[in-house]
Amino acid sequence: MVLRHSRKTRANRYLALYLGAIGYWQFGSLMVTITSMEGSAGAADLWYTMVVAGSGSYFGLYLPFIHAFLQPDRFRTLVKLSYLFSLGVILISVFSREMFITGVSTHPKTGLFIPELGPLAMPSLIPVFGMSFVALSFQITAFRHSRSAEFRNRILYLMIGYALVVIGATANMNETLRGYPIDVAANLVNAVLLTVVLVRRELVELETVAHRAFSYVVAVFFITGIYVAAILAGERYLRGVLGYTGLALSFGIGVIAVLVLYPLREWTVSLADRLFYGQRTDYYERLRHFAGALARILDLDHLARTMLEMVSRTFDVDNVHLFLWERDRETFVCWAGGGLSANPKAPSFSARGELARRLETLGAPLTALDLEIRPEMRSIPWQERAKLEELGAELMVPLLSRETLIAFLAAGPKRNLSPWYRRDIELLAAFADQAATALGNARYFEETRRLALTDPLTGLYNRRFLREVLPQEEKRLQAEGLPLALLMIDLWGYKKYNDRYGHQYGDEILKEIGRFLRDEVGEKGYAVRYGGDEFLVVLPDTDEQTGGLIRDQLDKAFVDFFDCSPWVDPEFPLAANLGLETAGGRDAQEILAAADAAMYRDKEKMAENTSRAQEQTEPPQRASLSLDTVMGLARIVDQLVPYLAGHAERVERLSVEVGLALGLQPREVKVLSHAALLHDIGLIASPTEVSNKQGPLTREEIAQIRRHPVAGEAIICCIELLRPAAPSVRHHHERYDGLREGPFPGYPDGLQGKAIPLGARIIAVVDAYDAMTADRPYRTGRSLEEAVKELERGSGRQFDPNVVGALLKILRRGSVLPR
Amino acid sequence: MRHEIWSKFCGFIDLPLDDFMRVQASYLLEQLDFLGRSDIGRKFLGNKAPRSVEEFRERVPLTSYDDYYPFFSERNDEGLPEKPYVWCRTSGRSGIYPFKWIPFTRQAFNKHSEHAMATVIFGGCSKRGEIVMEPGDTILYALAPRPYMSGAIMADGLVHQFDFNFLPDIKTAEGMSFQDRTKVGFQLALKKGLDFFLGIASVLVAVGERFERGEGGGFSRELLHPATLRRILGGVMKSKVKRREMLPKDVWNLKCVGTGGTDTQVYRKRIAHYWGKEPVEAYGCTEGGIISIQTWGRRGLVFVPDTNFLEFLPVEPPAGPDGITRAQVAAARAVAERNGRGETRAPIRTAGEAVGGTLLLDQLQEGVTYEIVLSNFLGGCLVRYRTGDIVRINTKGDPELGIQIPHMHFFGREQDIIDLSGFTRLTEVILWKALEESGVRYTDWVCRKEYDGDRVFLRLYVEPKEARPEKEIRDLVHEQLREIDHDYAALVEITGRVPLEVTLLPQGAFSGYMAEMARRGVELAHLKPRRMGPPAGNLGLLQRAGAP
Repeated sequence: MVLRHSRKTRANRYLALYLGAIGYWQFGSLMVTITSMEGSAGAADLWYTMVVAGSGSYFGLYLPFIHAFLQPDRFRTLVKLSYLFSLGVILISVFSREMFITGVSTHPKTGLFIPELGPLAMPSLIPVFGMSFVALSFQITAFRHSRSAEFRNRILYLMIGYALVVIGATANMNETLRGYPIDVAANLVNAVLLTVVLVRRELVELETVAHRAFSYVVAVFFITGIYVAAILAGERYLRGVLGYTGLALSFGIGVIAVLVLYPLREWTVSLADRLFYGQRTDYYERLRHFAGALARILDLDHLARTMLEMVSRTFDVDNVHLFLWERDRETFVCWAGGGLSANPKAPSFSARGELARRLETLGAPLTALDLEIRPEMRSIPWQERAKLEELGAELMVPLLSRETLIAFLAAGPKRNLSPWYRRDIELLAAFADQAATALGNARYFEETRRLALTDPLTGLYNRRFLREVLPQEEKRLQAEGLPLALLMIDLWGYKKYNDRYGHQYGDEILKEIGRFLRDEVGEKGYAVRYGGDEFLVVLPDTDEQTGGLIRDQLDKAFVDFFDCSPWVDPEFPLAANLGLETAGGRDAQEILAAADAAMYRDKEKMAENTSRAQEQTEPPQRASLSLDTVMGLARIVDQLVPYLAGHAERVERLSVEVGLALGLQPREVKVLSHAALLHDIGLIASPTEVSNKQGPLTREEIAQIRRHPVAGEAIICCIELLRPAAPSVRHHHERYDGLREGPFPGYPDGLQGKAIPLGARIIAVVDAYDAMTADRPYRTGRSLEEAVKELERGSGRQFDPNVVGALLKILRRGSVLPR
Repeated sequence: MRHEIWSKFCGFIDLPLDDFMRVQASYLLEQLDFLGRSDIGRKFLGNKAPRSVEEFRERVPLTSYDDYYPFFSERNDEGLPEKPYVWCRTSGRSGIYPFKWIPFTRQAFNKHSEHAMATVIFGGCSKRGEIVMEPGDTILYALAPRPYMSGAIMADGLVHQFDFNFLPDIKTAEGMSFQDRTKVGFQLALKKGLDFFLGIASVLVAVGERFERGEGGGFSRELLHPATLRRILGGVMKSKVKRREMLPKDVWNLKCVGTGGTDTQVYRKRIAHYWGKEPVEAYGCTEGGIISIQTWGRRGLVFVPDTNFLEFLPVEPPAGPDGITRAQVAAARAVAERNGRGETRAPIRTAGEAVGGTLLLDQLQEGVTYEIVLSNFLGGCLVRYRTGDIVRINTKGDPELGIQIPHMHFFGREQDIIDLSGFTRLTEVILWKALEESGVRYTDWVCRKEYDGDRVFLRLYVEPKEARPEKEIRDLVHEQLREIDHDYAALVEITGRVPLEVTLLPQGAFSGYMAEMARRGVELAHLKPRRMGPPAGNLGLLQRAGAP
């Protein structure tokens, strides 16, 4: 079989020779037995020579075979000598057999033949011992250094085979055992083991085989013993009572014993486990049953820590990390680490990365070896591999919830340097399976809790949270006397943003402030959205002095934040009023009220300072002058064309909404706002009677009206602040398809598609929508449905389809402002 | 363990094509992210690296060495994404540059050395999963030394991966010339045995020919070494039994012959005859390292998934095989030129699905030739680089061996292909094969396309080893060309003319040429004239060099 498998490798060639030596030995041994049975000495000395030479050659070839199999980089000369020794022994046995066996005598009692040893028989044992020792040392070294459970298993098989042969050979030296073919059986088993080791790709773990055998032995020993004892005791008792016993009675007792003692079966298995695995059994059992207990833990941190502790203890691992999926960041972040060399700052893995994808698809543990050798794992790129190497991860175990990867464990090497056995991996996989459910529950709980206690807009804690946390802090305040500070914050100037740019814009500012506060407060306390534009920072363990420092820092940070935020318009300055209050023997509600009062004092002070500053700097600020200018200009149009009253403001508000929906940046939104407000400003250059005419317009009048975008551009270009809005004003009557003919031609320049500024495209759509739905002196406004249909009809022709889509989405959401 | 070794090095052939493409995509995206942080990366990828394969192919232009020259010429690490582990250079003249320098990172070096191992394993096995190499196996490598890619990746990579016994050992070999190293290698092989040969096919053929002619190397003390003596005596006995001259295969029982380059296809049969082992081929280039490897089935070379992102520029096929119109060719060429910077060197065949002018591996068609465009993985720097190497796709997979990855054959370098009247594109391999099969004994040859009025023909310049008339040689080679190349046969049939002429060069033409070049201080790689389309100056020198 070995020869057929492959003769190209040295290990296979040596194994073939090695098996040949076994055959030589066994043939001699068999002939000795047959001769003994015949009772005639005949050629017994020849057969004994074969036994001696065969066994010597066998042991001599064992070293080259092991050397070729394990491939250590040592003792190459010794290996060659060993090979020559084997050859020499066979040659001597053929040409000069009296060197090993000089004759055969018969044992007076047993009648067995006893070989008379020649001069080389005993000395040949010396090199045999030496070579065997070296071969054994190779195996032990390879076993200790190998990190592959599979390879270690193979070495164990080899060692057991060799031990069997040694036992068989030793048995031959014993006068009593010599008559039995122990060496033949041992050699046969060894030959099978060696062939299997070399030829078979996968071997059953020897530990599993031994464990199962041991379990059977223990079960048979205990249960059978107890059954027999029960039957004997029953018979004796019944004989005393009934005066007789019989087969049927014994059978009846046996059946009863089996039924009564059946539960013992599990006990014996557990006993066998305990005897076999020792203390590890406790951990395995705990891990097996622990997973059920995990489901009751809803705190994510607690759950993660418990899981990792359990895994690291059970398997005695150097480190194990839990990577949890963070939906927002599309990343698996290291949530916690267990074991001595755990690294809590372990690098994260992309949720879109190949490692995550492979773990999810595979749904089973992945070893470092798998990563290296499985073809499909080649798609995991080297940077992800480098991260795993940095962690020292040897085993990755996915945690799947509804076939989606929600977390994975990365376990490092075991501290005793033994590899991850298949049994370990299976146990860990089963554990992970149940832990995934627990983890899913905990995450869901955490998410729900987070949603219940946080403000959805800003992501800060809400008042419900405050109601939970304040009593706790109050208790700590009273019980431990720890200080507590509350910092109330109110935004000054925020309302104008809602009035001016709409609520959606205002919400964006609040979102920014939420992010800012979360970052600034950090671990120092909790930031809470207290009301519309009011916030509260709860600062546990903070006295008045520290609280003052924090307030000052936050005050300064707010100034920088408002200066840099793209959402803050210099025309509408924003500021924060901060009121700090510390415990001072009061309960939490009183501190809260005092903080509120302190904040109002700060607000009043700011108002005073502002009005004084305005008085001192007599000419009003340029920004507000410009704004007034814009509003004033818009009002002129309202006065000149009465039926357009409110049109500009409506167009402006809806345009801003559409702009935000299309992802415009804050500064672009502001420009759009100005342009939308002033898009018809050019009408002031048209004769009033034309712009107010209620009947159909003549061709000349139409031409006059169509000059208003150009006139509007000229007007607003005069004001520095409004200049960026000029292109949108000029082109808000262009058609998306660039047509300059027909009932609704594009003008003034006939631009097409994206050549038209986005602001102008937005205003064009919103302007048309407002014009369609507004009442005019000569007609009533159309219904919303009709207007929508009209817009859809013009989409891609008169109007930019993206803009139409965004507007329709807003309209369908019902967020269109009431007229 | 053998199974693990096989899976690690050779397991890529088990990838379904979808998984192969996934590996390509995954490595590319990682590479773009990595490369995008360097100056050289920003030059090609812009400030924002592409986020998908499609975006990459649409946005990034095709490149040539000109684009990299400012970064690579001085082997300066600045501007590169990572300090190179090794710089490799091309062996031959590369366009306007005497040679090209290409950086390799440590990760790339490791990956290429894994594929070098795969080549050796495939060369030795006769079935899936079989591994015949063992520690201490002897290996003779007749390859260019470092800093050439073959020396740096194949030889050093194998040292890095496995405990081979190099003949001579790498350190000793570094100080020796190519000829000395090969000579010493074979001497050592007589003593220590020879398990693996990696190198140039013609070296093996030359050694085989010497054996066949019974030309020994003369008596030397080394021959008295018992191991050498045993090996030679064994060889003599085997040859006597078979009643023929002793051949290398009688002396050595090689496990694997690994070769690369155009001559492998020409000498395949002769190597098997002399050495008892059919060679295994690997295709690669300095710019991309190892790109494809032949498996034990010896049917084409299988692409490797994890060294380069592979794109393919369709090359115009020889006269009208599958209904591609000239207009389509022109359109595809326009796309490629728009995406590339300069002139498109090879004519492009169209493909409706081509993105950025190229196709991916899963879009290729059998029997069609393509130019390879590659982008390095693992920290390399080349992006959508046109190699100029033309390959032909033999098959989309090998069902017999259970391989689902397309197989290729090296067709020729774009600059070495001679287009004859638009009918056929003759490569060095085709001409060389024809000359080999013709039975003409020759020293070397070169070939040019020439014109005589309206007649376009090939002129083969041959330095013969035997006295034969030019016409006889022409007829023999012509017949072989008709057999080997169907398009050539079609051209002959349609025109009724023989588009081949032969000119004999005087004896010693090539050796004289090389001596003259050596005298002028030309580098080793440029000592020989270009075989396909050498400049007129070279031809003149050849004729003069051989003159008495």
